[in-house]
Amino acid sequence: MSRPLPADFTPLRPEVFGPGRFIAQGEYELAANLHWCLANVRTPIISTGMWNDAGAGPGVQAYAYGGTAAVRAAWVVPVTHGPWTAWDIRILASNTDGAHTATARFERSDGTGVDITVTAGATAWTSFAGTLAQDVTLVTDVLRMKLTNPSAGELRVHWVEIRPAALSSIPASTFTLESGVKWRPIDAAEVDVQSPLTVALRRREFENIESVRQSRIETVIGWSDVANFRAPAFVATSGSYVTVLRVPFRAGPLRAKLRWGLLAYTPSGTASVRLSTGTMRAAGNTGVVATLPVGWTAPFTGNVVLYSDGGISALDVTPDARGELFVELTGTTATLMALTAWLVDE
Amino acid sequence: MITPPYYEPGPSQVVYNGDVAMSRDARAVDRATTWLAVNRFARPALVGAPIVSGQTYSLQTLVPGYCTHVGFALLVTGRGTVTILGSDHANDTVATFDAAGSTLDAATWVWLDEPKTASGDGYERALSVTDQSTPHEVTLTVDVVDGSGGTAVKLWSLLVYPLPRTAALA
Repeated sequence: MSRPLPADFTPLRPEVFGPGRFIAQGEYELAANLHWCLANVRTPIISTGMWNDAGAGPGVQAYAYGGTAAVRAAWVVPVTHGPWTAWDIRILASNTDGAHTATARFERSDGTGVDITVTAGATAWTSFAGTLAQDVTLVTDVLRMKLTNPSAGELRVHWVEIRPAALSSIPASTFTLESGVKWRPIDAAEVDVQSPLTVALRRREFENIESVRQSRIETVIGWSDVANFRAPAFVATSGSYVTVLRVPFRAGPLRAKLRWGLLAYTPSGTASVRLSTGTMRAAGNTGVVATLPVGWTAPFTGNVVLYSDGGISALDVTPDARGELFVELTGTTATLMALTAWLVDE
Repeated sequence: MITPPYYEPGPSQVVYNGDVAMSRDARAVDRATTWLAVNRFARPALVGAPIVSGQTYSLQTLVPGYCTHVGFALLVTGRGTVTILGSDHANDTVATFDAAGSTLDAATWVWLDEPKTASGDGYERALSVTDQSTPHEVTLTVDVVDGSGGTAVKLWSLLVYPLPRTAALA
């Protein structure tokens, strides 16, 4: 009993599937290719360049720098149902201390984390990686980046990318997506030369295809500001809405909604964020408005606003087309700290 | 496989018994599976304080397997150029623009999504990446330069996205 997971996708010639062939021809490869897609088809969830440095002049200081395990960035991340069990975290960083290592820690909201060691004297834009188990009991989580300086220098992180870690094997278990579509792996014995090819197996393959498509997490933005420069960046003080972000994206087939989560605050008083898409504006819908939390304290658990909170909703998008997301702020020192938005079918 | 791979998700595929139906269904599974393997849609856009002239930034992103080109979308104001050089391609791509205004509301989109495979720097095009079966990291370096006599350039957003494959898998 085994569930095939080849290293490569196997291109198949159409004649392999001609009438009159033996059942085993191509069927094993079809099942293996499906497993390959489940294990390997993934996209980045978070991609953040640490050039959010309006406090030091636009673009002058292209990194977040460390302190004593200080939170320098935080992201809302979708934990969709599916096969993914770990985050693959990549950073580009440098360490000005030639003799001591530094630590970039990435932490879930429950405190579980992974420490990525940045070698002593690493020059700018050096790549480092780590893996963090997902908290699969959650629908959304908040990941935080804590930077600890070396003893005699500074840790600098220029770039962060986070995506689901590829699977090294196909689990025997099934999973059911929000839509009710269910993934069920295929055993090699079901598609060997001695096995009758059943209608049930074929139906399972088609459902598995939908499972792979729907379980692919597609974010259109996965961004955090840099806490080093929090005060002046992405802030609006105005009685009317001020555009602070515009985000392009390409929605795939059937992707009709954009779910979102953000971190934001206002020091006091009342402030709001308004999110809209080109699709909504074309329909005369000015957007979804959410009130910002008052105050902020690391690790910012009180600053999370989600599409699923009461009175607000996901955004409309046009499937299989280009789109644009608009983010506007109003109020006194209305401050956006992070935003993640991801496409779903509903 | 069918080239280009095509898949229309949603309607249920009706499966029948019989040799001819079995063949047809197998082709449908192959077509859809190939579509899953080689098509990519949304990826997170890169935003932040606008990147201005004189600065060079690098980023490293995961390019999926069986991808041949990555395209770019730039949200810009001002007059000047944005140059992007990838670690898998010997030559760069250069977007030249003169976009009025200096605020985010006034910014204009510039799309570089033509997979032009010509040697030499320049061209407003997507960049080629190594065509391999497994996903791999690609480093991209972004340079912003002001043009003469115009408004200073601001690069407000950058989207890097793998283009759908157009050629058959080998």
